[in-house]
Amino acid sequence: MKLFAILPPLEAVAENKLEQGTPLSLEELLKISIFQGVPKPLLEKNLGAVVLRRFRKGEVICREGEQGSTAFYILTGTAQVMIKTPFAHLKTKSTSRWGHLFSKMTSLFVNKRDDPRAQDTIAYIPIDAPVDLSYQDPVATLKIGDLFGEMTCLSFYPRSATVVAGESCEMLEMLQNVLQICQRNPTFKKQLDDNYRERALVTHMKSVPLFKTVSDDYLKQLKAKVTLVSYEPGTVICSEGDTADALYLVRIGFVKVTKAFPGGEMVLSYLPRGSFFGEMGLLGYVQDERRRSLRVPVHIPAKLTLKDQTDPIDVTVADLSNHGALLKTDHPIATNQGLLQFTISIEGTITRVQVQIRRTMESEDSATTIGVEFENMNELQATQIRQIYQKSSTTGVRSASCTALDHVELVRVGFEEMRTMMKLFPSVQEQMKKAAENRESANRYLMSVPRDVPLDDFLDHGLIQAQNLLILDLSKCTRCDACTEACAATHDGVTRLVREGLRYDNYLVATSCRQCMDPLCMVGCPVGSIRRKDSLEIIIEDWCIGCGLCARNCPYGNINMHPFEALEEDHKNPGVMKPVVKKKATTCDLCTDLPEPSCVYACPHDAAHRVDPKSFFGFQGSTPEGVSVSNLETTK
Amino acid sequence: MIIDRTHARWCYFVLIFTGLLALSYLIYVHTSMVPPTGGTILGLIYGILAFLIMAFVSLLGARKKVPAWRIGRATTWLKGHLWLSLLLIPLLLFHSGFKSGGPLTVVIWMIFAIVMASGLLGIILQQMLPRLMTEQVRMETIYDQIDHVLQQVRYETDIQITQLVGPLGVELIVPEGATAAKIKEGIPQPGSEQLKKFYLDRVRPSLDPAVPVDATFNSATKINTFFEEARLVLPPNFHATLDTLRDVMEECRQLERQKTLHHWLHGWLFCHVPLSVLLMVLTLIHIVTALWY
Ligand code: SF4
Ligand code: SF4
Ligand code: SF4
Repeated sequence: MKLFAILPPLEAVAENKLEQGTPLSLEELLKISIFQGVPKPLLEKNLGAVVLRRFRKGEVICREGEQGSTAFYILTGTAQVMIKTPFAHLKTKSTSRWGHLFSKMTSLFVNKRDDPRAQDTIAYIPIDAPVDLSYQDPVATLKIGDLFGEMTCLSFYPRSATVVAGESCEMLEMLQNVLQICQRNPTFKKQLDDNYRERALVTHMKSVPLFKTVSDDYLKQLKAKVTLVSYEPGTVICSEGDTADALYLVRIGFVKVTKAFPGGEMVLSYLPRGSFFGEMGLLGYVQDERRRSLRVPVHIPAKLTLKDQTDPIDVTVADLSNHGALLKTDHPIATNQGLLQFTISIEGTITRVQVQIRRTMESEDSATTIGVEFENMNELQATQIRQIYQKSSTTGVRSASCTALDHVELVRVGFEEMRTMMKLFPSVQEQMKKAAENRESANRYLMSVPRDVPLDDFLDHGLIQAQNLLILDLSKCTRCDACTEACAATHDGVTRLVREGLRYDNYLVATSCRQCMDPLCMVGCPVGSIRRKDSLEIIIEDWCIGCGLCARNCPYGNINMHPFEALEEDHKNPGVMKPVVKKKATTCDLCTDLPEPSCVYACPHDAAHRVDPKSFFGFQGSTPEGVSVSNLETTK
Repeated sequence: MIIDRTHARWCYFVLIFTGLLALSYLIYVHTSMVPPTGGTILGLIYGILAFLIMAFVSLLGARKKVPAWRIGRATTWLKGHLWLSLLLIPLLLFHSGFKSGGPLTVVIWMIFAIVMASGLLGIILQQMLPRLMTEQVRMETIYDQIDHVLQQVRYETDIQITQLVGPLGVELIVPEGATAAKIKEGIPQPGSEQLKKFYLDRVRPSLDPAVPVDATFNSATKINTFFEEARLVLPPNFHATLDTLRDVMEECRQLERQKTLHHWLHGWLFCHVPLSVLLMVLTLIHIVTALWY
């Protein structure tokens, strides 16, 4: 369905005035410290957009998962911030006692203890407040001077946690325009930053696996040394190829990580609060320093296509990173296959090398220029040349570009601080290396796809990367919906198959997840519980609060909200528990527990197939038109 | 269901079985000089076989009610439904000895003919319409959602035009389940009134989900021509809006087309299914009366 790109989503259109609470006069506002220094006319224009709210002890200020557009600033009293949705992730398995005869899949909510996942290492859950919640006991206290709901207010993300008045308290509730005025006010900004430095920075750093082993004392010292920086939506934080001079932790907002590749840009990741970036470039710096004294000749066999064998060729090489390496090439030889072979000798540290090839006597403008990637820098053994600028993880430059997706605030840990930390705590370097290697291999995999399979936009959607695809042959499909009904019947009445989505030729492609080049599902999760594993599989962590944003964001309907019953304290009768319906996000697993997915089994018209994309594409390329899909190699 | 070479084995089976039935019938006629009827052993066997097949083909509806049960792939059930029901023709003819019988059997014959014809129509439609729908309705959505999508499209278009030309003077109907958007009215530009009139008089009536798309917009070419002509009349600052309106109109047209094709694709079932049930009931009555008397 085509929708207007120019219209904002309906929920994103916020009111200009607040309906609840006591409006404050200009004089009253100016008496509050955070508005001191704000130009009067500016404040006057926004009088209705900030109100005083009073809450009684136990009263709910906002609920997790709800839509909202305001932030709260605590003037008096305290508030408890918590996640009430039980921690569990959805697991579906076949529970039929009759073999597969009545193949009912049961959706179970299991916690990490019962169903451990390889990458579950989180100790703190990031929320939209100046504190993180401990995974073990997700409750924290907010005090006077704390601001919460910034991301909801600035970017309209759902509320990340439930906030309840801990005692009678007064708060300012404000809309985006007032919050932005406050943020531009240096007094307020400093107060917030000081507050954060004092109360949350150490927990925040501790929540990052990289700093798990760093002592509290050292982190306390570090508090004063790090810089808190903010970026407006769309601002480039660092560009691919820039010198790496710091590691960043995401404090608020989402950072988009992209990498250039021929003809476009690939989104490698969206980093939510609690993530870090910059370790790959920094590691390069550190290793450069260690190796500065090494001068080792390296021989690189290179093969480049020539017009014909007799082409007289000039080859020049240049170290683009200016690290002082000496580069030489021997005489190029044209091989029988019309390829060019030559050797580059390198002495010193290599970061990025440019090779220029041109026919003798031709001008420099006509030269073919390529970048050289070294695959294994540690042993200084380059094994491959690729026609793309891509630096290895061991360089001192940024390996990708990072851009603020919305209002982003970061903690910047400078190179010197990182270097000292790595000396004092060698495990930090180990962790960084591990993270860099994982990221590098995931990035390499992602980047290899458009390069190796230069097909049309179908492949640009990353479909080839999927392990399994569910395809509906639209020339056979009578749109009877037996498939969706079967899916619902198998999954406790909730269908995970929506007969809508990307079309390729005569096929509608529905799959568990397309592992998109631009995984929009990851944008905006208020608690950072949706992420990509290194294998690129989308995983929803058990602290998902069921706000449904990821399901709305996934353009292919691959995320579904699964309802379940839970007990929650009745706000009207404290101490009394009442059953409530909560939701958790889940992705379709193509019934991997069953010999054949229910939708495929239930399609009467032989139109639904679970296929292995590799054989599917192979088939597409080599078989004449008109051959039935049932001849495809289907994966059972 | 597309009839392709995966049906070959079913087809051979039906042909061979029909051949065997015909052979048995001919042998019987040859030896006893009279055709078999419901009262003879062979006629009874034909009748029992026909009834068993009818019972099986009727079970397809029940099988659809339990899609998660692994009691055979739905494709196999449907192929069985199609091909085995063809066997009913020789079986019933041989069972009746090519006679129409009493009033009840005449009614049964008539209903059987309609059920078979409607089934045949369904099969023919299924050979063409899915492909046609795929080709002609690139913006296809889920059938049940069409009206909702149309409502949404009209609402969003109304908002967009309001943002350009100010209040439209008509009620903006918020689609079910959506929240009313806060509309920021734009500063009127030269030609705003013209655009407003054009939208309200020429375009908006066709965006009403309850009203079929106007004949001016019943093909992609007509839509293009219409909006090309509108470009000549409306100032250039609204040409981008005209492009958007053209796309909106094309979406509405396609969704209308989807509705029509969907009705054709599934409409025959309204005749086929109830008459099949009636046929089964009458057959049971026929069996009881035949056994009773
Ligand atoms: S869940 Fe949706 S948006 Fe996210 S990667 Fe998969 S297909 Fe893409
Ligand atoms: S995973 Fe999805 S539903 Fe769960 S909290 Fe994140 S955005 Fe909301
Ligand atoms: S069951 Fe088969 S024919 Fe029916 S809608 Fe699904 S894919 Fe199409």
